[in-house]
Amino acid sequence: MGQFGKRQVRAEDDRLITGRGCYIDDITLPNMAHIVVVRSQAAHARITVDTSDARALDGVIAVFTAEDLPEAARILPDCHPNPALTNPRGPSVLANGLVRYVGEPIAAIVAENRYIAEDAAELVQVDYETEAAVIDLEKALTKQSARVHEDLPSNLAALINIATGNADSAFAKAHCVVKERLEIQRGAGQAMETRGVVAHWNRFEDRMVVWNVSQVPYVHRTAIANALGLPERQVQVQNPDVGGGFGYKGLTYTEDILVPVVARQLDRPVKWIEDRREHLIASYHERTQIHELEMATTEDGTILGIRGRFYHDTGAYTPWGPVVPLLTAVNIPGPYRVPNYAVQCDIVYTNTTPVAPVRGAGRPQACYVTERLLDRVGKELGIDPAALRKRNLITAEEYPYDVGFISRDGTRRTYDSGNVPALLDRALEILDYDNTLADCAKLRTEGRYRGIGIACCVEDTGLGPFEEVGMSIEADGSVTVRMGTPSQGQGQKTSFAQVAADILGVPFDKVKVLTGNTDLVRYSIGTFASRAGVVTGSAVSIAANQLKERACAIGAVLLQTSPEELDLKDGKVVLKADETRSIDLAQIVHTSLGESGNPLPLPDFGPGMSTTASFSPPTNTFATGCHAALVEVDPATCKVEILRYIAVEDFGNLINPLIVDGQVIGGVSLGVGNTFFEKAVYDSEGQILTGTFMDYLVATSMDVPRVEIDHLSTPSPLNPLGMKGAGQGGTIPVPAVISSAVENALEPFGVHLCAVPFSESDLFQNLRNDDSKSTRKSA
Amino acid sequence: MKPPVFEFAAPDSLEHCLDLLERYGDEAKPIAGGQSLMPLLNLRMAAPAVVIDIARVPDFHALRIEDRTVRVGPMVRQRVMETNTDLRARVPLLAEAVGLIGHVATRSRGTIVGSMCHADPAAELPVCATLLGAEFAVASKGGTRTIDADSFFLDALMTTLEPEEIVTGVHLPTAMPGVGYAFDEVSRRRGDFALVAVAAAVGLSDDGLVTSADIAIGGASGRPERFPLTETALSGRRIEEAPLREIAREVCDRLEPESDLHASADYRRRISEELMTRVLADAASRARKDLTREHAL
Amino acid sequence: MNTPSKRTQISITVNGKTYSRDVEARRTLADFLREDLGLTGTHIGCEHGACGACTVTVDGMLARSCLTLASQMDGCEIRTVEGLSGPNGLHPIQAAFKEHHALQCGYCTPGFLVTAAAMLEETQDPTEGQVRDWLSGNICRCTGYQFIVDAVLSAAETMRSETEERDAS
Ligand code: FES
Ligand code: FES
Repeated sequence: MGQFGKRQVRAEDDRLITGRGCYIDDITLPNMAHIVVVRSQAAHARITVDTSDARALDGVIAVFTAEDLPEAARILPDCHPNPALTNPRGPSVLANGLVRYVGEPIAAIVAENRYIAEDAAELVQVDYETEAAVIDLEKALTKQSARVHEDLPSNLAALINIATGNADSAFAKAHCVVKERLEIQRGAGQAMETRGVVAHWNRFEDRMVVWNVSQVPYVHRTAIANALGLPERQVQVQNPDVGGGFGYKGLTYTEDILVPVVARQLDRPVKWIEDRREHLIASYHERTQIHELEMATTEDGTILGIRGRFYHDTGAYTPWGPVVPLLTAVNIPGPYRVPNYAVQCDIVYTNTTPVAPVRGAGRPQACYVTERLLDRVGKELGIDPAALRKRNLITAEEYPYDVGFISRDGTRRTYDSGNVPALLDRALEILDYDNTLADCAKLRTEGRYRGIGIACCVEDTGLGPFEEVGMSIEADGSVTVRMGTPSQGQGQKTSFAQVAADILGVPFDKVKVLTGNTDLVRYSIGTFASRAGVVTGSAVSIAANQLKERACAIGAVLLQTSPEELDLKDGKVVLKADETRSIDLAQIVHTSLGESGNPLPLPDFGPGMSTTASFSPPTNTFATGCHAALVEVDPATCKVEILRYIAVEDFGNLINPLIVDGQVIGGVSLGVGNTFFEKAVYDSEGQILTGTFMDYLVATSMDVPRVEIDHLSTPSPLNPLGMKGAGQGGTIPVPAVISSAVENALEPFGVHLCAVPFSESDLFQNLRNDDSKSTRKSA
Repeated sequence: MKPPVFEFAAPDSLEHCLDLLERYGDEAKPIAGGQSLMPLLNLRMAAPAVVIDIARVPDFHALRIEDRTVRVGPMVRQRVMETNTDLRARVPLLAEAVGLIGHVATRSRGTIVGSMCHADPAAELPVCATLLGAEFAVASKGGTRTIDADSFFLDALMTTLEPEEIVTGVHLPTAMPGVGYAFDEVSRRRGDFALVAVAAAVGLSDDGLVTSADIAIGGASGRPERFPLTETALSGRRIEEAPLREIAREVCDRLEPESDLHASADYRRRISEELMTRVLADAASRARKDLTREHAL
Repeated sequence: MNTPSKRTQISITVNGKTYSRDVEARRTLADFLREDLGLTGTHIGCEHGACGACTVTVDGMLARSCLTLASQMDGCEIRTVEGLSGPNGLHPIQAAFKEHHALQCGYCTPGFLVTAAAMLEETQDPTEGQVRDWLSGNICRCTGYQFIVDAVLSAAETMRSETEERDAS
């Protein structure tokens, strides 16, 4: 049937294109009350809260502050504990006397509708006794700095050291050393759907039913059960259609606990929908890091080592542990041979919105710094950027490649498979590199400034520990797949149906994939880190193979042959040698179930055609990519136009290239935003200045270029289908690629880019202070 | 983000509209297309006691294209500037600028007069009004008056309109023969407010020498600024021989733009210079085309 | 409505059906459609006019329903995403969205569909640049726009050939 690898249009779409989707805000329950959260307007302050006016407003049902919450529901659980984080600090559900960032939840208004709740929120009086706010990442570590958490000796949440070889001795014998200070500023995921939670107590089942937009509903089930003092079976978490995830919806926020607690206490259905301003201010951010790194090479540009230090701004708390900076630290070597490596990361608290992974998660930073350093080396030694990269890329023969240190998941970081030199060659071929270079040179003589940028990256994808899948063949011969990884738009209902359809020999539209309900399977981890395709997809293939085996075994009895002689095709068990001899899957199901009142006809196979399976990857699989761009810059206005953008990806075997291409292009669009636009800005008092989509800018249809995509595949040996994750590869190299291209275009002006995002105005300033900020040593 | 409580009225005549304005003064806020007011209401940055929907006043929808003037009622949507070819020909400057305002959906609701009354210093239409010397017809219970653009725009989001007054129309002078118009801006993204917007009008004599030149710049101060350039070295020269860059620099050195999230003051100043050079040249070349056409007729 | 009031009586036609309701004066059209009429296809992405998710047409013209008061809409005709498909099935733009994978999470999709449909009514043979310009007020965080643009161009082609066929017969 050949579903695997087909550009199958999606099973999800019919509802969504006709306005019949069901997102969190579309859920309405009888007698439902509405919550608005009152948030801190100060970055760091002791607070006293007076809610009496708000309570008195007509239509207000209740107001909750910290002390109104049960003991177990006062602190947000640490969903991702990690021993590397030596000084973790988690947020309270509602601030208890002290706030540490603008937007931190203080109180919850429950009212008959959202309009009234907002009216009441304006009546809550919060007295702020402000304390010094820690905003600047670098100053935060100085002795004089105020502290975000008084009980800690400093603003240091943790130090991470990642090393292999002997960096210092490598640097001592290097021919060329370049050093850079590279800065990535704060951005955010900003899915088009904000967060939201609906909760009610189901009296018939005697349990809490919660709908939310989580990427990790099972994590929430545990957290809610603990907060309410219930066993997990008395909590059901469901995900309706979710309007985008991008990582930062993958952890427990205040409202995930607060809304069910309120619903339980009031014994009323309750809805909370975050608005865009809250989403911009208080849904977690990512990306602020300052890197001071050096790269050492030989005369021919062979990398000898990378060393240095970087600073990660984790915001006021550490809700997702150290994962973002850890990912940067382990990803800096990328697809290159870096024999000697020593990098330290300081994870630093500031009075800003906490950090959670956002599509790319630490890796865009890693790719950016490495590629910037390579560009410096190229310039220093006069080596063509493509040649320089090729010289240092790990070759196909070297895989599996031991990077030399322990990775984020606690295993030795080993690239399972890959061939990045081939990706680079392909990208150059699509770009028509040599001719394009010549064109650029020619246009430059006419006063037009074009440039090329290239970057390569790796991404650890498909991480463990497991995913579980349930699968049944129904009485009508159709197939149901049940899984725990929810969708935020990635098309799992299509991809996994393709996997199952192939193995079970049924048409694509006979497979129905169910997700978004913690009753479907017992355990699950969640959809993040480009893992659902790989891990759940593998579990789907295992479950389907189990059912296939059982169907053939039953078929063998009925057709009086051996199972090896049989195959599944067109919804039937068929004899390979003579396909006219077959039995419908519906008949197999019927036989396996027997007749009411009688003993099972085939007791050896148990009743029914239903199974569960799980998959636990031994470690991550590594996707790789090479992106290239051609840009033109108007030096007068400093406007950048991306003329071509090429993405050559290796995601292993692809279930559905159409969906994967969508992931790549969508990823690039976030990358374009990260390069030019997306910036959450705080003033020195910690007020956030980017509280609307007029201030926090994202890329539009005019800004994102057409992406030319190609795939080369080195199947992963780590899972049965040879897959690698594809969720973030589109985003990771973009800031590096475009920065490189812009710098190349403006080479005659000596522009030196060391920070993203950069606006036309930033580029203009850079052009005017063209004195190079890098310090170089050349032997 | 929901609007605060307010009362709503939709008067069906100018008379009633003025009654309400008289009665509620600065407690009231007229709404036309709502594209400026509604975000402020939703963000609760504005909290009028009364919102007056002026769409039910029939006269307010009038668009009258006359020989020397186009009279635009306060309910005429910006989108009309894109779709009405006669209008586009009469006020080519607005025709060029309008596509840069927001997006089709906002232009379909947003009105020309509404945007001018909102007086965002970086908005396109106030710059056009300033360059063209538009006149605002204003009415209140006390009577009517006319305010010219120069005195209409006061500062960022401030006009000289009194709370009990309403603009009943803006009068835009139509394009004059032998004069070319041009508009250009730099914004972060398509549809965003301009970082800087510049409009130019250049008049040429039959033999192609500059006889008049004007510039208006938005985004570089609290209100659009107009700079008459007729008395400069431009006059009496062919545009390609004029020291455009120097003239532009001299004007822009006098600007005192501010830095904000989106651009530095320095950038704004220098980009004004660049845009000014470009629009002056464009305007002149259009004037020349206009003359050639006239001669051909 | 010459006298100010906190509530207004409105009569609105949505997708061909007329509704008379008494609403709070401050209620946005988006909330009216979604909550009062249960037409939840219109989505709310920002409530300050900057994302396009809530786009509908009012008397045939595009409008942000978050920047419109229901009270202003008395006597108006609204079309939402639910009104795009007719008795003959999907609107060509809807079919093209599916065919070209122009949606992922689908949250922005209604706004894009309504915008694109309005555009195709006005411009039968748009260039890619025109399409991108028309769509520039709609934010999508998932797709990177490319497949949306492709879908619109392809729907335009379908509609042109449909018109030709109709004209020929
Ligand atoms: S919700 Fe209306 S434009 Fe975003
Ligand atoms: S499909 Fe998700 S925002 Fe557009």
